[in-house]
Amino acid sequence: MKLVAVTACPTGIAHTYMAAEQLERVAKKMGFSIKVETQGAMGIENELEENDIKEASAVIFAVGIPVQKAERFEGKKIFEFSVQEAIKNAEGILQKVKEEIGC
Amino acid sequence: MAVEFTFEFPLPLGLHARPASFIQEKCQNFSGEIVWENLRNGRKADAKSVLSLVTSDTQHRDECHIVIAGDGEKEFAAEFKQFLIQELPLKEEAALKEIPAAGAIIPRIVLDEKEVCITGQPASSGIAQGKVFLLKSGVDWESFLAGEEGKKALSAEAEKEAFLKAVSEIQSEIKQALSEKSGVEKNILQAHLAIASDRAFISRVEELIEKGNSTAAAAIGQAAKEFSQLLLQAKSQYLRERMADVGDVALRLLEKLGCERLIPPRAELKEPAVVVAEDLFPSDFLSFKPEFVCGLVLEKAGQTSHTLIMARGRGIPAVTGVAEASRLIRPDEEVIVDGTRGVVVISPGEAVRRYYQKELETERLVAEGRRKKAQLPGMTADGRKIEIAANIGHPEELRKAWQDGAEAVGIFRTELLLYGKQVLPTEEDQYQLYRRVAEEAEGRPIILRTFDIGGDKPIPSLSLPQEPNPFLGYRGIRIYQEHYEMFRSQVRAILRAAVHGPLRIMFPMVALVEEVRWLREQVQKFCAELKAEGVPFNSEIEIGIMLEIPSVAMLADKFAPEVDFFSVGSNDLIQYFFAADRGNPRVKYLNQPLNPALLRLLKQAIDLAHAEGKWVGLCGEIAGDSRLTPVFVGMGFDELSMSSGFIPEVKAVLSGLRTEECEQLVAEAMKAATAEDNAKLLDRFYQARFSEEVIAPELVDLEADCGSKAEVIQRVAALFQLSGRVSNRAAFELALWKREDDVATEIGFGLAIPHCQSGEVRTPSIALLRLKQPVDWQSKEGQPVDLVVALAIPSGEKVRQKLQLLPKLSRKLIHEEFREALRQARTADEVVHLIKTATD
Repeated sequence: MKLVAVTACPTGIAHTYMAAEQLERVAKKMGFSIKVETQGAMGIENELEENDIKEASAVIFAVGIPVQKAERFEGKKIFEFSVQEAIKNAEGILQKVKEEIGC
Repeated sequence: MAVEFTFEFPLPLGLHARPASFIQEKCQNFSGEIVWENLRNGRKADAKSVLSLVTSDTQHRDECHIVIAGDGEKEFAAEFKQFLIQELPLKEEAALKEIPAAGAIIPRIVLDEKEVCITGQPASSGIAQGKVFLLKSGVDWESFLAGEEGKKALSAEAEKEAFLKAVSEIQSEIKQALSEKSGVEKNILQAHLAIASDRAFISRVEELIEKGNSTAAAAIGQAAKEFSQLLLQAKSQYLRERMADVGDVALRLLEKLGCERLIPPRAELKEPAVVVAEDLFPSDFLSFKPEFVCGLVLEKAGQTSHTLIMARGRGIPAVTGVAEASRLIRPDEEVIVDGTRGVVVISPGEAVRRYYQKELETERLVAEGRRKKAQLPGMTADGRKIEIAANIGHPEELRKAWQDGAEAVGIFRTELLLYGKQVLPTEEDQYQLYRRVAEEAEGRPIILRTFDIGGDKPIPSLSLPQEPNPFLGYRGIRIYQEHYEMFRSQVRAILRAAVHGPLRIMFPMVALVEEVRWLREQVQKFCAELKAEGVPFNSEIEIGIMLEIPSVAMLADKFAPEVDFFSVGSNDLIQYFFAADRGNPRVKYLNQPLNPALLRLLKQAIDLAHAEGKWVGLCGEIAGDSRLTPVFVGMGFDELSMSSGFIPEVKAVLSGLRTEECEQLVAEAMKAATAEDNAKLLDRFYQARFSEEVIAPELVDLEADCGSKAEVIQRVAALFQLSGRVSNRAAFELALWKREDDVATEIGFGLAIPHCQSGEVRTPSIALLRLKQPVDWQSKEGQPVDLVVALAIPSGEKVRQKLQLLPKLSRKLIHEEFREALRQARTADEVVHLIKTATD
């Protein structure tokens, strides 16, 4: 299963990157492929390309502020969580996504 | 029949005066009776009286029982209930938002502990704890009543009539004033009107007149005393404020009845105390033994008032602009004065005391760091000498000045010697004093500024006329021709004392070249006199003038041949240049040291003076602002003189600056259009110069002893300040809390990552704390925290390369091995190494 995610928090220096790291780490452990875009104080990094989004089965937002360039995800199935949740319970999040999209 | 209902009081701050007046207003529409009973304490109140309502001492969530009787009671009961539960909280919320920020920072612990604190502007940094000494307190009703005793009352009818007449006169006066005022003043007037119309108050006075056979005046005094006592029982600032209002209204009523204003006599300070006063004249301040004044809490003193300048010089913590301080704080109460944050905590509890104990320890360490900086030479990195001097008002401040690293005295404001004196000092008195100063200076130059009297500095020993515009009037050298003997004896005393050390003489308020010529002629005349009398004197003494009137700046090349030096008095120069009274808070925004107009004026003056070979100093308050030091270096100042407390920081900044970069900065700043542009320019200047590492051993505390989250945040802020990463830890602490209030930064794994972006941060930095005992991080479903990694980021334009390190570290912290390594590290150096490797 292929996933894409966006992480973003108000200050954009800590939680954004922790959430990204945690999602990447846990997804790998669970055998998913995931690409995580960070929207932090450094701007957008590891930006999701059109192709990444097209191929993804689902989109995860782990955010505390509105996502930039959200129009890219129109028509996709989006799961939204808080940044804290992604850090503390990435496994639960991914499990839930897996169940909902049924694969 | 009556209608009753019970409800839980919804307002977090309890039923204080403002919501009480909303309730009273609402109840006026109902003709019947409304009784408010607080079921917690059984107190009953009349809902149509503000005073009665507040004395029910209704707190958040108290059960209250309301009984309504009269025409339309059923309809009104439904409407009133709806009002209490829904509208009242909304009205209160809207009103709270209107309260202006005072520039003060209340430490979180004070809020968490629900301590009573009042705020103002920070005026002299440091922390003081002590008993209150109240100068000019509110009215002493006891002694007023004692004085009224035995006065014969007219008939009860006549006394009541006089009272009610006074009430209605005052009501209409306040209503008149209400239509002309706005903002805070309007709120105060509204509160006064509510009291002047209060049923409970009026009926109590009437009762006292009828039953007690008192005069109207005594009845008012008695009622005011009773209500004040009731209000004082509450531990809430709002209620204390109301007490002040009751006093005010009662005084106005008494004035209407022909009683004189009750002015309490001046008292004497006999032991160490925190002095609380409306304002404090320099004479009052100087009349106290310096070691007895632990702290100052003032209502009205301007930041550049001489009392506060002296307080800073002596290292006495002070807060000013504390509205109604002298009436909200009672004599002999224990208070903590936090002059760094602008906060006064009244009767502090254990947790707040412990917090401030820790603050004191940090202050001590900060002071130690300062001492090292104080010993630096006044010199730029490229070896340009700039004399760093102290401003003093009294010879006893010399010792602190030398301790702080002063290389000279840039201004000794001699007129402060005159305050509180009934007669002018003689030439001989002055000679002895100046001689002592010259000897204590041990070769360091001392500039004595001759008496600058007038303006904001009236003195009793000279009868000067009252003027509508004293700052633009008869002051400084302008009075010397009329008060020639005073001028003569001072200059002669200085000339004589200058035999014993390098004294210099400086004249205030010069506007014209002719004035300098006249002054010089007089000095020559005095020299000739002394010579004829055979008295030793120094004829080579340097003579300078204050540059505080724009005309001198414009014509500096013509003044230069007449003087040996100039010293810019920036406080006055700025007020004259921007036509804005420095003591008037409404035009405070015009106090703009970075305004390009001012920079151009000064640069031109300095260049003109230098072309004539004359040096230029700066002795206004802004000289002590170390952030502005590069600007002053770039302008070409030869000397900077300040409250000595600022010297170590200025020297530290100066030692890292290169003349050329400062000159470029000023060249750029002079091209700007606004002071704000220049503030940004200065930000960029500082950011471009950083080369520090993100972490260092002094940012690591492996055994942090913190009892609560508040103490952890406090410790984090202390580490950043002690390592020089953060300039003002109080503001930084607030920024950390702001981030915590969004969402607590506890992220699981026993780890919290408090962080913020703040203008107080000089360079991106990381601090690490291992807690001796885990603390609750006050987060949802949060676990106790034992490891804290704090991040500090400068605001404004970002230092991208450096900033990259923090995301790297954040990602790393997700991994258990890394956290474990941090937990196991044995030394601070090991932690530094781990973090540097992780962020490489």
